[in-house]
Amino acid sequence: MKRVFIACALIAIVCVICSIGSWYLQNTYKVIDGMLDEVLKYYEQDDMQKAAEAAVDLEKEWVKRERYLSFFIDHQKVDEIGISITRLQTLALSKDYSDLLTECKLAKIMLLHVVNDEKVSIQSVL
Amino acid sequence: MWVSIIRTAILYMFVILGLRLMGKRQIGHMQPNELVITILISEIATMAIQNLTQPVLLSVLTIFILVSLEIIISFIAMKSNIMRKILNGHSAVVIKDGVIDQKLLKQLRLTVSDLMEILRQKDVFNIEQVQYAILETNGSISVLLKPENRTATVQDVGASNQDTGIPALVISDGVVINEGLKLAETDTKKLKHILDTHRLEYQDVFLMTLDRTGNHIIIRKE
Repeated sequence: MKRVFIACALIAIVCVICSIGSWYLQNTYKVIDGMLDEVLKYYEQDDMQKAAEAAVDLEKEWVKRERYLSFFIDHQKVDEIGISITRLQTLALSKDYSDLLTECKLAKIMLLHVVNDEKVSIQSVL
Repeated sequence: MWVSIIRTAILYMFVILGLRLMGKRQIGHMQPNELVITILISEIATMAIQNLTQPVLLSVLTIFILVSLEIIISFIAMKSNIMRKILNGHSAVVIKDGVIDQKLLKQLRLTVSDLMEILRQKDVFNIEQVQYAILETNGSISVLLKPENRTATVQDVGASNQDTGIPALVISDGVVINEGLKLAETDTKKLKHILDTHRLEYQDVFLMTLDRTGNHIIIRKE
């Protein structure tokens, strides 16, 4: 009986950890996606200086969050998003419009994929 | 390199913890579900050790979920006959009164040579000597010989049957083992007395076993 209680406690702990992980991922998605939108907004306004500043803030925020994301997300996926985000500032400063747009969209899609993979749905489970 | 070693050590600890939680079972005595869980756990651990991009936490959580489910399902199986049958199947009588149930043998996909091999491992060379042979859910076969072929017990031959208990290890390499003393229902005073009769000190003894009736074996240190 003791083992059954331990097993139930373990399941509860796992559920709590998974819930915290999902909540953190959702939160990260909202923040990072919002910041990527901001970079895109400045890009659309043709204000590349502000886009570069927004990209720097975005990178700082990402670095802060990626160490926790690596606990429960495939490190390779996290690294790929990180590389995309890191490139944004340079692209904005060099006024490389098409690459900035591509990299922004790529980072957004990769982030969305990570979130969708972790969402409980028939597609992600099967 | 170091990351791999640390990850391996972490996973090793969690796999051992998981298996200890599942309880003691010899590999050969595992039920089908236990075997499946053990294989899955080893596979998860291997993947996490080899694939450095996969978070260790995920593997640890997966191992814990598998172990927890196994414990809970075993508990349910313990309480419910139906669940036990679904999970473990049921035992089957393959030989009754020296006659093999050929139909059942086919159903179980067990050949006569397999059956004979298992019987030989149990020191049974003649099927006619078998009263019952039962294929257990863990794949082993229990054999009950006909009364005339069974080994005579102490009760059968009417010999004295004094319960001497288990010969417990009481001294190992000159050190007194307290658990052994408890098993032999004795104390250090009596132990010292036995050693005195042999003119020995604790440190002279390499190994000593003792049972409840005082029978003992002493191996001196060389």
